[in-house]
Amino acid sequence: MPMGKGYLALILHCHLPFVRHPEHAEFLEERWLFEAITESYIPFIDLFERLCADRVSYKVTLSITPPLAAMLSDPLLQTRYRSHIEKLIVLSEKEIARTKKEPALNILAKFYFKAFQKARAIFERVGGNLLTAFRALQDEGSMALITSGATHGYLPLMAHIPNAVRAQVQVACSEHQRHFGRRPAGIWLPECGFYPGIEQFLEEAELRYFIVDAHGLLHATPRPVYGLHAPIYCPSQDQRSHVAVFARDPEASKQVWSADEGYPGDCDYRDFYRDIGFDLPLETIGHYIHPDQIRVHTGMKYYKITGKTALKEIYNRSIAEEKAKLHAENFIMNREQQVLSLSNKMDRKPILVAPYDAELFGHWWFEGPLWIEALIRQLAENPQVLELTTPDCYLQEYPKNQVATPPTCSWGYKGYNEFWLNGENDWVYRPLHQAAYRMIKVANQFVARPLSEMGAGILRRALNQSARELLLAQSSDWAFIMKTGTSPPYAVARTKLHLERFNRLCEEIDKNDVNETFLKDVEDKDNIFPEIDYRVYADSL
Amino acid sequence: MKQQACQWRCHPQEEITAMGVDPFTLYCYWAIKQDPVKKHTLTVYNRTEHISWQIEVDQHAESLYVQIGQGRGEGGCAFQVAIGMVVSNIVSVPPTGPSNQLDQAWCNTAEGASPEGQIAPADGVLSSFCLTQG
Repeated sequence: MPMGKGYLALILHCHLPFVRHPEHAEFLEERWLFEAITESYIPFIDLFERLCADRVSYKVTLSITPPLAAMLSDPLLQTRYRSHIEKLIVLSEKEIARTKKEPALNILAKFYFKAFQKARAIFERVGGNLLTAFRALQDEGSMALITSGATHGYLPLMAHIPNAVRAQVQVACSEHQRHFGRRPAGIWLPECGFYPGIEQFLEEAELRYFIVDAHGLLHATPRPVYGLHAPIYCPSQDQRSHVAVFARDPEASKQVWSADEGYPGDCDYRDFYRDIGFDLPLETIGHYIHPDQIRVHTGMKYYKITGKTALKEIYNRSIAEEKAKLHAENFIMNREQQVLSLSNKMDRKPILVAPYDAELFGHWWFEGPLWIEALIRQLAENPQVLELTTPDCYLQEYPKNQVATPPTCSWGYKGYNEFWLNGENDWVYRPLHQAAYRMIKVANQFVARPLSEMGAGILRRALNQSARELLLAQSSDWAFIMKTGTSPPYAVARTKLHLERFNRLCEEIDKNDVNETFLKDVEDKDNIFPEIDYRVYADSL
Repeated sequence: MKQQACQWRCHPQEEITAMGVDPFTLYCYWAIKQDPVKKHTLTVYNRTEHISWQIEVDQHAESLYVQIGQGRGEGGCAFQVAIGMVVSNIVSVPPTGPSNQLDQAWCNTAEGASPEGQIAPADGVLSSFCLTQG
């Protein structure tokens, strides 16, 4: 029986764009996945399994996006990750030898050796497929898994093409069911991007909730009486299928996200940027970075943030662990104060929604998983004020909610669409929109054909691959990267590549002259969504 | 499950598309037959407040960021742009602040038959809650 005075919903958004490059033996961007596996996803599995083993009661929500799920379950990437972690184990062994006369560094080298060995052990225990472990945690009951857009397409900027939005939602839900054995209860709208009208597609997909940034609720019409601290329902013709909207709590968010005030910037935490991949001479590290001798993060970092200085001090893991516990305690104290001030103004327990990019924990903020574990253990020991919940559990307890319409919004810079629509990336939308219209046209053209005629034939395969290419081109990550400037040539190339593949396939479909060699090649390269059905783009089945 | 057929177009000869950037800005791109001499006239329609204005656009331009002014009204506004007879989609531009509509409709999904608007929250709920807590 719930005993607290309010709830905290911790939501971890796990997402990476589809970066699978079988055409190269090693590809720089695949390291995004490998680093996230070692530093975030495996530590999550480790900590949540330990909590279950210790019979600690908790509730947490993970959104695992379809591109990430596709990569985690992909045999090629699993094989490549295996090589990656083996190499890191060898590197850490060499570092133990190299640092034997520097005790403080040597302790850290041994720490990394154990951490990499543990990562490999967990990876092998789940048969190389981390989704197996997440699904088991879901089935155990403590972890809710939700989905996102099929390729994390930014939906407000395709709002005028309803079939394109529907496809992002429907394909995501089908993939989620294929991977996790059940329909998702909720969806993480990519970048929390909402526009009025999207709810009809969520309702069609039987999704019960999504999350917006704070102003998504604060600026809803009519004004929500409970502000951020209870969900609202989007208007619907069907009383039973209202989609609920939860809002991010800015205070909870700021304490973790803020570069100035957030916990991850604490001087005792590990410095992300000082990595031996950059610090050591090429003769020492050359074999463990990119084969073209491009320096990369190895994950072995010996220094702490220290302060605003270039003279970094050596990282002390024990001190950092204690700091993570203190920060968890501080976070709980602040959330409890919020709940206590809210609870006497509401006819229900307030909910504080704390969503974060999952890769913040472990990858960027190395101690992040320790902080999550400390947070959960401390809350389990003292649930008198604050308890963990999931949005779905909250809706079960409180099915009566105010009906209101949120405005167009996102959790990006300034809260709207600007980060994905600006001078750096606006050129992508014309060809993306044209491609979407073209996909709808060919889907409508062929949807009426009897299945027997289409069969498993080449035309059907080409239509399905066209849908994959369009979805991959729509990934919000490309526009995002073009704006951030982190690796814009790659993002530009990916956008153009998928559009080129898409347009070539459509031309061949139009001529009824599909080149099977080309088709097979792109099917092998872009093997996401093996069960996609192009008819998801059609006006009607 | 699909409730309605969706309209689609494919490579129209002439088209104009509008997208919202934020409450103050639209982005539009178009493909319009060029007049070698005359500039295009882009008309911006605020469909909610029933006002419109025109902007002259270079005849070679194919896109534009359009400033649509400050202080979007209650619940935001619907905008549309046009060049000549070529009209864009409608864009829902968000409001810049909380709604002044305080009337409440409630729904209980566990009791599907309950009519909206007839279930009230507990007494004493502050209507200014979101402003004090936001």
